[in-house]
Amino acid sequence: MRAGQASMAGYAPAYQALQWQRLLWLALWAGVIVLSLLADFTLGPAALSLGELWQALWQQGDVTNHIIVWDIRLPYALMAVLVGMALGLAGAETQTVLHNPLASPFTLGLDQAAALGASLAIVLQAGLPGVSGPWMVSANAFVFAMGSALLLDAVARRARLSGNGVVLLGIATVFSFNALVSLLQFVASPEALQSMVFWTMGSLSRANWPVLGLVAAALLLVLPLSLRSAWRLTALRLGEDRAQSFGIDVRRLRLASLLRVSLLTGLAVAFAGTIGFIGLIAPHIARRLFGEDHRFYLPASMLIGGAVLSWASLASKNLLPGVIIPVGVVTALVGIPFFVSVVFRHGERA
Amino acid sequence: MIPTVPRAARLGLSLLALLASQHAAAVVVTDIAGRSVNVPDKVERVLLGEGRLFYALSLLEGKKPLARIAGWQGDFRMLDPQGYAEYRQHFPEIDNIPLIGKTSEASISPEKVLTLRPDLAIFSTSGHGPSLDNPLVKQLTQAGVAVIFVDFRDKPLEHTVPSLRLMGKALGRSPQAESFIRFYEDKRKTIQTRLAAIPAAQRPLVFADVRAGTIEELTTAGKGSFGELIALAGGRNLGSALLDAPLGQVNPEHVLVQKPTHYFASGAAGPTDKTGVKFGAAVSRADALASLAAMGQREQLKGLPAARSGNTFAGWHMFYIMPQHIILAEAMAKWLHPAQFKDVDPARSWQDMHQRFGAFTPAGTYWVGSR
Repeated sequence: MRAGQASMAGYAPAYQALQWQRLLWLALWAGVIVLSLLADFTLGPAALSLGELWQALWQQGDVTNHIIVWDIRLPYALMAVLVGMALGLAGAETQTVLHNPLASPFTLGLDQAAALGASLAIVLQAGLPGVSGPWMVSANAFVFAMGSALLLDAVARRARLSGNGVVLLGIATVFSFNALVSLLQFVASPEALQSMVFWTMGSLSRANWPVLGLVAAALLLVLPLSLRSAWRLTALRLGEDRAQSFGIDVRRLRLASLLRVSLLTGLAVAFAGTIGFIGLIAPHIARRLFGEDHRFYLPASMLIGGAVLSWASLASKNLLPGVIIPVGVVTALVGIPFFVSVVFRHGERA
Repeated sequence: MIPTVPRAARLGLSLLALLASQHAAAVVVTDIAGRSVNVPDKVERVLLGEGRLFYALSLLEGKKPLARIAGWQGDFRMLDPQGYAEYRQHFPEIDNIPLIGKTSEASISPEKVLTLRPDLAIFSTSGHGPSLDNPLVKQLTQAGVAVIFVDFRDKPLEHTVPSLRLMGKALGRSPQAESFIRFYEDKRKTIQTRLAAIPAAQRPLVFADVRAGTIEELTTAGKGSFGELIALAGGRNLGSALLDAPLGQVNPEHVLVQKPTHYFASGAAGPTDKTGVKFGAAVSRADALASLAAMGQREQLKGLPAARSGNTFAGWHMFYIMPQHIILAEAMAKWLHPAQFKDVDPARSWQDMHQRFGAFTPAGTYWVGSR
């Protein structure tokens, strides 16, 4: 007994130290995002000086500079971070509740569902009643992503599917929606086809303040809920049976989590196109660096997602002067080397 | 010496094909892709790899533009429905021309093409039709069909004249082709002579908003295509310095800081379309002007005075794929340099061109300027 107490007492400072270390790492990633945002804000073809940027921020000086700062640079840069954060958090939750390291919102078919919704709007001008103009594509994408998630959940619950069952069902959805998108591409006019192609390559050019507000609000709504489930999600990583033995209602936990995931993914994809890759890599990097404790793993995955997409945005605007390379393309190219290096350095020991 | 061996072999093969062919091949032509092609001296069934190659064909075929078309792709019908409908009024038989596909290379049915038994197939080196490496080219050649490649899209200024000359030879319409080429070269020379004295630095910077409003991302003309036409008309195309391709996505910030003084938009929207610049046989001048004004008001162009209140001009998007683009160049030159082109009337040139070379003068609107 005494020995046990002594060793428990011995763990406490080590545990405390580990917590502090993890918090420090989180702060570091937040710092990375801030730096990346600053770089994204200060670099651009206009080559504005810091003084000019400062003036423009306060709506002084040249009018063109205001527009560049307030309508182009800030929305693009913030959009990259927010969308990346949304996808990072969504990916982290998906991998946990489905108990599958290859799962992501993409493998659930959410991206493809959104793509189908967007394509319907672009090609057939078929949208929701009352929604028109520039919002139609995004609204369609969002509704399809949410609808697909709800359908997936309904089927999974009815058929009492396990996590793997849900993943397989999701993959089936990916391919069905893919086929439908291709069918639409086949009948599309070249203009619509081009829009669809741009859309699927991911783009931050739909960024504006109302959209930013919407994505930020969704994150603010979801993050506290995710963190409240952090303990239960951590327990779930020990296995469904184990989690159940702790008194956790696994199906309820999974449903709530999938709803949060769909909301985040639906919004992110609706406005930025399919950049689903973030949802796969951010959680892996987070797990390697922070471990399984979801109090850290969830926010870490979110921050890493934001940082990676912010770097990608920086690269997509600055690699070729004056030209924008679709951000989805750059995300993969920027993210993969980083992803691979993390996986290998902190890799799973065989 | 080695490279000549396959050429000799090819020559031998083509001689064999020549002997085997039922047609007496009288002419050997070199097409825009650099291929040597035996063309039969009498062509009765012409296949167009892109329906919109018809715009060029119509300049050579006089008052019976459809008579020899054995089949074409659906792009003319689907992407220029207004022009198609106008042709249908004059030539109801247009609907009987078989379609070989919809609007893309992938949609073309090779079997359908072969069953049409054309004598001559005219394809574009790029775009929506069969490309050079499409197996269809080989299949047609093996079936004894002459396949020639032309280009009005990638390098309009360089390839239009040789493409027309080639089509003239292949179709037995060389006099018509040469006559149009003279018309085209005259126009081009006039533009070039009058602009010769204007140094590059004084030529206005133009931002080309290609298919304005129909693609969310800001897309502009790079090298070739509209970029070449803007340069011919005495402007500096903003996108030419950025993009090697004819079309690409630009950073709006870059456009703003370059401060282009002139804004050009292309479009082919119909009278009832909700977005895009309206042009075509059924579009009125007022509608075209209103749609141009609406394009300039887009959120993305906030901060670009040229688009909002300044020097705006728009042209029919289909000019990018037809020899008739010379009239757009003339109209654009007059817009960019009004003093040099006071006596030039592009509307008159448009009418002249159709009276001399077309089946009829089309109705509708094909370019507008804010002044």
